[in-house]
Amino acid sequence: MPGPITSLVLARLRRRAATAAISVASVAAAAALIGIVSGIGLIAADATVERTLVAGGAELPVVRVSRFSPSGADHAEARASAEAALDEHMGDFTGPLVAGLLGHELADLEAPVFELIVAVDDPETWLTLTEGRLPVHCEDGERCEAVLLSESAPDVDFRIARPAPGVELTIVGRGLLHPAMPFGDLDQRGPFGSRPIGGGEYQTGRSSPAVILVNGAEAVAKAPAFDRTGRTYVWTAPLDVDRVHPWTAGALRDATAALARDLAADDTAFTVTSPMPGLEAALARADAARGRLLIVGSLGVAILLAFGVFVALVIREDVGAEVARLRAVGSRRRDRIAFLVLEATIPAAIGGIAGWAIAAVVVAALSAWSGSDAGAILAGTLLGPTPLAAALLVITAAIVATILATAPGIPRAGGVRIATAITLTATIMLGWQLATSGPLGAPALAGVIASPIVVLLPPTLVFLAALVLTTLLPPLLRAVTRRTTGAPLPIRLSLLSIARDPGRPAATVTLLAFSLGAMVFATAWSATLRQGNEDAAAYRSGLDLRVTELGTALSVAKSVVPVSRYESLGDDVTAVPVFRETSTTQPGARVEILGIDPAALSTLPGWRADFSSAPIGELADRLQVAEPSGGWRVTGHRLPTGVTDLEVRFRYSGQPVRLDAVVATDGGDAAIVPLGTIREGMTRASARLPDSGIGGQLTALIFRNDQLIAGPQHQGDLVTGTVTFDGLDGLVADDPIDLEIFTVSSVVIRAPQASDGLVLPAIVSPNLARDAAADGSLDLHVGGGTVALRVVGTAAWAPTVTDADPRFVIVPLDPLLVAVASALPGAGRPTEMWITAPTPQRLAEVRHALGQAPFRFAEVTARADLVAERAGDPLTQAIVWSLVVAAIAGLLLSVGGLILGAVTDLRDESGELADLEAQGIPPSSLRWHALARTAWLTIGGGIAGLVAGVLLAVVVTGALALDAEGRLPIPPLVVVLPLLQIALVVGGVVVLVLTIATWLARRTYGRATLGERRGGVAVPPRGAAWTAGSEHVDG
Amino acid sequence: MAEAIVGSGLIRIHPSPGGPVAALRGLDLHVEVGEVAAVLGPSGSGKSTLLRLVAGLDRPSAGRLTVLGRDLTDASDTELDEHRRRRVGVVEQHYRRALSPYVPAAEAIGLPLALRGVPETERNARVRELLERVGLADRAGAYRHELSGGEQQRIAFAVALAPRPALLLADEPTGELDGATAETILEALRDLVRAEGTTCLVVTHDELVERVADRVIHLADGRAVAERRGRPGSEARPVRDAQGWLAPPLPEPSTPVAPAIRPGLGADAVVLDTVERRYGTDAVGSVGLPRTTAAFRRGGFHVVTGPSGSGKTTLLRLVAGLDRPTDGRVVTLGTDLADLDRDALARFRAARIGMVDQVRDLVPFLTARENVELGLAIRGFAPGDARPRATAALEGVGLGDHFDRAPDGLSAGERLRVALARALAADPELLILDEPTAALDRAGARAEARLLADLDDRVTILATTHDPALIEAASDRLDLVATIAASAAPAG
Repeated sequence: MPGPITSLVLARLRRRAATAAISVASVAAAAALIGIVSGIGLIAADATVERTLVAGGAELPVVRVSRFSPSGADHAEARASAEAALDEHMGDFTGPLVAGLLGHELADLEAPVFELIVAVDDPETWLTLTEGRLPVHCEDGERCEAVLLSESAPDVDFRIARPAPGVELTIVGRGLLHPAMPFGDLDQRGPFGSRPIGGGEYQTGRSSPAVILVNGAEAVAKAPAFDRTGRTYVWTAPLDVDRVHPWTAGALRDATAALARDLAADDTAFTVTSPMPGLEAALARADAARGRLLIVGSLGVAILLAFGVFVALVIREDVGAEVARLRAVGSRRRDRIAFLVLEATIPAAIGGIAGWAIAAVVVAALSAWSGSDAGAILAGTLLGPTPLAAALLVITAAIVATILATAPGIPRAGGVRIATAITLTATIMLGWQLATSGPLGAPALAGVIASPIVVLLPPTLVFLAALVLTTLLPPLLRAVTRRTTGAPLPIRLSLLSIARDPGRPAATVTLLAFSLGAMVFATAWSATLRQGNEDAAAYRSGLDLRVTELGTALSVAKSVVPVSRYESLGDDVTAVPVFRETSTTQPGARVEILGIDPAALSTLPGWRADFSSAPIGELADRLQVAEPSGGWRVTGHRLPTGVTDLEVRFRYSGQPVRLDAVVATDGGDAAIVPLGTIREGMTRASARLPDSGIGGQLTALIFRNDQLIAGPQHQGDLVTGTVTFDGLDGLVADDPIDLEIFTVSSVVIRAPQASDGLVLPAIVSPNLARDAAADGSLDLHVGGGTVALRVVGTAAWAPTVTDADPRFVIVPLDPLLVAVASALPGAGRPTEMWITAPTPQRLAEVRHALGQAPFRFAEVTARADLVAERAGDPLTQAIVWSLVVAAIAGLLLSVGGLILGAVTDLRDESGELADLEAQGIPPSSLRWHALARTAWLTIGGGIAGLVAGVLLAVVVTGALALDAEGRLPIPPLVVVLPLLQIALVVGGVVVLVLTIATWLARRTYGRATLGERRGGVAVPPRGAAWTAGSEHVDG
Repeated sequence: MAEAIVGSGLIRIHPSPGGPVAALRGLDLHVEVGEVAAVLGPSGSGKSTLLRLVAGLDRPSAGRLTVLGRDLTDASDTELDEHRRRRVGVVEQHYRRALSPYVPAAEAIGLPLALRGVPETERNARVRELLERVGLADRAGAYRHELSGGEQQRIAFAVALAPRPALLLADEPTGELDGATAETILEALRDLVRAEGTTCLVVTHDELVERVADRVIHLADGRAVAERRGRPGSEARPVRDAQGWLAPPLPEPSTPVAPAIRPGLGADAVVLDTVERRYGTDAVGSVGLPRTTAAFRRGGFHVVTGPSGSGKTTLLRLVAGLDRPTDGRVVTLGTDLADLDRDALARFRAARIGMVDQVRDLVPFLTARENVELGLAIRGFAPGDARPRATAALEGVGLGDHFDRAPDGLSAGERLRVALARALAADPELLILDEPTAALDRAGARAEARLLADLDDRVTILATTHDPALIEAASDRLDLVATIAASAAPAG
């Protein structure tokens, strides 16, 4: 049986059902917002963990223990330790263990072959056969069946090496092991490549080794025949992804650490690898993203508090009257306090529970939809002790705020002063913290309690906006009403009615600053993050596609030469060659060089106007360099067509030196052709030209120290000689040339180039501009040479330069290539091609074409893929959906607040309106007056909401260095205001509210006189006068 | 006999925008246990403040107050709570405020008992007893809006008496009731008090209360000026204060003149032809204005008097077209208001009627002249025309040097004059005033009465009032009680 006060409060709620329902619904909306955001954060974190572990399905997450052994002597001991430790620590997270052995190089010195032998117990689970059959289990390690692990049939004369007498391996099939099991990144491409094509080749001359799989690790490990072979034992356990979640990640981390610790204590040769580093990074990102979601949550809290105060002000007089009645009937102080507490608590508790229940249902549904364990998600969020305690705290704060605003003994002005003091203090503290700490990155946002900035920023900013507005509004309105004597009467009177008692109008405006501000903020931030994804994708892809290719037959260096091949993609396809190189301007200062046609700069979707103070078109103009008469190309000695050998004639005297020739093709490719060591008296040197070099151009001859041996004792060696070339017109004259080659340097003989003496204009990053000389000159080290630059402009960011603090130069491509080739003969090829096509369909066709000849293993970065990948990121979706929920909640609360305000205004302003009617204003004008009042509040609240929302979006975007995926945004985010979207929504709210207000005004000021409308009761004398009084009963 | 209430030199000063206002100015008071004491006085004389002090809802600024042997002068909040809880029942001035709209009558009566921990059975019995005693046994489940004014007031008494208080305090218990209902209520009050053995202090300006009071104390300007003990009709004697000073004499009661029943005459500013206004349904209805026939000639200063609830304000609202009669015809300034719709009525008022109500809604941050200009703007005057009219109107009411002062900086009388200027600036033919001197002391009321009397050659003035000063200054007076009696009298 409830007590008398509880009964009274319940009776009041029943009789004010509509008002109470709006209050409860609003509290529920705010509580649901907080709860849903909390749930979404964990669901997204779980999805991120899964995405990280599964990595698109290509990799199997595993925990791997490996140990190198020079022989098989300690195999049994190592195996016992590894398996015991894995079983003890990882049993809760992993599936069955797979043992393997990675035998090291089996070199057969009689033939240019090279193999790896690997052994796995029961490999059928992880082996995909393409030819033949599975090998039978090898028992003795002497006669074993094997499978060749190779993507394709060998393109060379393949035979198995014979590592030791007494071993016989028989190939019975071909196939591929799972990329993750049990060895991880085992190179299974080969064997191919009988001839070296540059650096990085295997010692035996193969580009890729043959890998032979034997069924039975134990047998191979113990076989005496393999004893000479070093091996790595591997024990691999696949992680059960279903058991790894954010809430179990800590246990997995501990287990992995314990595994490593125990094995290291046993034997330091053990190595443990696991997905933990990647998982930790993903969890940190998820934590940061969840920390960021606190902004939305705290906004929900702020809305809740504001709505509590708003409702309190709406019912303040009614509550005051009830308290007065309670006093009159002899209630104790504690009875009245209980009444105030229950009056605030019951709707808040009902709303809070309803909102939490709604949130639980939504979160459970979202969990099921995303494949997460709904029970665990709920236990970790809405039903967890910490979130529940936080929710209780928030509801309690809202109740306290409501009580303070409702309590008749507490003057409103005092409450406003307290709120002002708190807001200003918080603003100063936050401002100081923001000014001193700079934007918050992921580390600051991660953790159980994120930065106070995140938690306090939204309410403080919105309170500040509301404070400014409510402080400025009354004097402004007073001034306006005094100076607009000629304005239409309803307009002037409505302004007067607000100005004369700005308390509740201010509360309405404040509520809208929160609720509509939340909607605007959510819309703007969401758009900002989405645009950030688009920007980041465009930034990373240059144009629609960014293409790199493997080396050519002339050089292993990645390049897209000859660029003329790209013409085959079609006339409607634009392909922009780009040169990218990492260099230095001074020792230790890394610089990224970007050579590009200046005309292409302004077409780059990844270039944003805020990157540079000057427009990109203007900067591009500054990069233009006059083209020389023969065009930008490297000049040299033209080789005869059809001649397959390069022969150089000369007279030489001096110490032996090594001579290399640089041969370039018309397509922009180049090769270094070693001409061997030349000695005193030699007159010619020759070498076979690469096929592509036949008919090319000899662009440089390079003398090097033939005796170069690394080591401190050779520092300071000087080699001298004199050479006179003969018949190399276009490259070098027939005059003698003195050579002085100091240690590691070289002497380059080349023709004069158009870039000689040229200072290239460059757009540079600001940090690099600071390193430039006073006249803007800057020397760029490329290879052994120097390219002189002149800074013509600065830009904070350059597309495809993805460093957090980028140092780059952008220079015109053609002169740069010549300058680089001049400084480093053989270099200076475009390294990337940026491509755009007119339609998505054409783009798809281009992508297909890039996988075919004449393109070489093209690696394509597609803008659309990046956008899709980022949009599909769970953390991106979490923040976007959270903001959608926030926007909806904000919108609902705005409409609810405005309607409640309109109803209450008509009730509470009825005395004033009756006075106006008594003075002669017709009801039709009063309707306009009432409508205008609602319109002012709606407009004022709308402006407050817009200001607060935009302010919040700007400050939050600036304060958080986090993109949608929870990473450092590169380039930085720029606030996007989807004005049309916001205008449509705000306009919809305004129309809806004004429609309802019109209906209410028509109902109140219709044909019946005031007295007739109140015919149901005797009208009290003025004082309570020609008003309906402050009490009301719904329905 | 033991003294229930002893007040000595009670002073209570309230802050106000225009400066501190003394509601009580050295009041001396004695009420004995078991008495029904009535405190009579015009609006603003300090009656309600006195009641709040006795109820323990407020504390005196100076002086000493003892109630039922307990000194309340310096009592703490808790002590005052206990005082109300154990000894006092309070009936609020406005019964609409006294009763919660959210609970039915029986629950409202039971609430004070529940708050005191009275068991449910006992509580229900007491509620039934009280409902029967006030004659509303069949209305236990009715909510406030389902009860008539008299019924609400009776329920309010029952609520106050439910915990059997030693002292019942009633603030204008008949203030919002018609005369017949008021009489019934007062008799019910007397019977209840006697039956419960309670001391009762009633503050009112309704002289009907004299019929049930053992002691009548007259208040004026925050002091007791006269007191009568004994049977009704005996003479009230002037009182001396604690220092021995004789209080100012009571104003002479004015004599009501016979109503001018001259329907249909063209020279009349206002004609009420068998006008009646009832509110609500027959079952839950009340009479706002009993059947009345009257006429007010053009150019006079007419006052309408009568006890609270007699229909004075309703009459003004009918005359102004803010309400329509249930029966009869209202002709204002020659126009039958029944012919006008609500918009036309508003335009009619704007063109021809000036109204000043008790609250006088002046905009606080506008100056006096701007307030008057705003009033003119409401009536459709262009800003260029409004300025000289406002200036002239303010000068006309003696505020020529107060143009730029805001209402908060003006005295109550000056605020009334600004409101008068606002109403007069448009040169209305009829000026309607509702209790214009309600917030003024006697000197102020006399000054305003003189001002209004001087205006009656420019405009017809129709005012409701209890104030003797206004009644004295009026050219004629319509007493609604007398009118009703005359209307009800058999023909011939």
